[in-house]
Amino acid sequence: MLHELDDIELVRLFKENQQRELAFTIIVKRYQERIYWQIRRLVVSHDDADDVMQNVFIKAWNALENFREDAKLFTWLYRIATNESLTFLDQAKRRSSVSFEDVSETLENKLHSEKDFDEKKAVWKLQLAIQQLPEKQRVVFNLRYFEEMPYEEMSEILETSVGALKASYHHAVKKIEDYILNH
Amino acid sequence: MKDPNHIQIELSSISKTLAELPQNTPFVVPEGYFTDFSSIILDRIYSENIDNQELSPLLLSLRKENPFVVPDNYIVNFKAPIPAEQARIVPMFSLNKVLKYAVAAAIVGIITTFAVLQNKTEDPSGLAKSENESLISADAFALFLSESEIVEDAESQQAEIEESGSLLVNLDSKAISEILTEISENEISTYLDLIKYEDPNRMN
Repeated sequence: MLHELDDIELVRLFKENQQRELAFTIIVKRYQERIYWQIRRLVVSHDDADDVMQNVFIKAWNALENFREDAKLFTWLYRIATNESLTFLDQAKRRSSVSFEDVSETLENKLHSEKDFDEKKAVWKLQLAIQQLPEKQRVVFNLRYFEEMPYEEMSEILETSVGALKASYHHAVKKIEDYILNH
Repeated sequence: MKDPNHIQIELSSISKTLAELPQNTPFVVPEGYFTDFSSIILDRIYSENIDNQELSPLLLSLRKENPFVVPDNYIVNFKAPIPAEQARIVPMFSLNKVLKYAVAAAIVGIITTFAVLQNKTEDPSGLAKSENESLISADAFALFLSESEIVEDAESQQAEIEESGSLLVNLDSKAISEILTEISENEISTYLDLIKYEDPNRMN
């Protein structure tokens, strides 16, 4: 019965403190996979993705009380997930600058250690190419290519103009094509 | 939300190579991860709440509500006060600038005085004194001498020059004959030829 409620009703239940845990569990189950894949494509390893996932939903639990219903719940969760992933990568970058490593190199190494990794297979080559992109382009490419998200929705999540997102996606696709053709 | 057809057309227009690739992610997720995730997250939230409860049960029992009251329509009618633009006051006379020049002039004065005194103390032969005297201009010199005195001074200087010219040959005949014994005849004739070419009247 509760599973059929829409996002607004679930948030209302959460705020009214009636069946708070159940309402939150339904929200988590509804969006966990999509949020997970967005995070995983950015941070690559499952363990890192799991850490970021837990942080995202704990932040969501703490902030849902003040969630304004003029925004979509999914867009809001996606924004938290993207910010948390980028924060995680920034921290990794700071750590790597101490040890003189490049983050894209670290992410590439993580890809190499993935189960079933095969550099000759197109899907893995595509992942290697994505890791060469700058962070913002990587986020935009993943949302557009894998999530097939409209630019307008992406604009709400990333707080960037549609024109800038289109340009980012175009550059990202060209760079990936170049990488695939030359490797 | 999705418009895959439109997105695929857009991708093909940018890169045919990429449009032909399979669109799946090759990563593997541990089995049962999504089944258990919601209960894991709730457990973590409970444990963090217990930590907070132990730290301050009173704080945890309070709802995170804002108790402050904002006057009606304050936010709607709020206008940021923009300060009126004031013309920049440019001072006509800058005390700082004058002070800078005064300090610079004082430093130059001190350095000059020091240099002059240093020269006086370092050169007991009186050379510095004569150099210092030469710094006195002709106008200043004229103030202390009358016209006739200036003429007299000029004449005495001329006489000194003439006198010093005669000193060049003020040698006795013995010294000259000693010098000449050391010079060969060839050298003497070469020297006489040179003088002849430089000043023909001198030889006559």
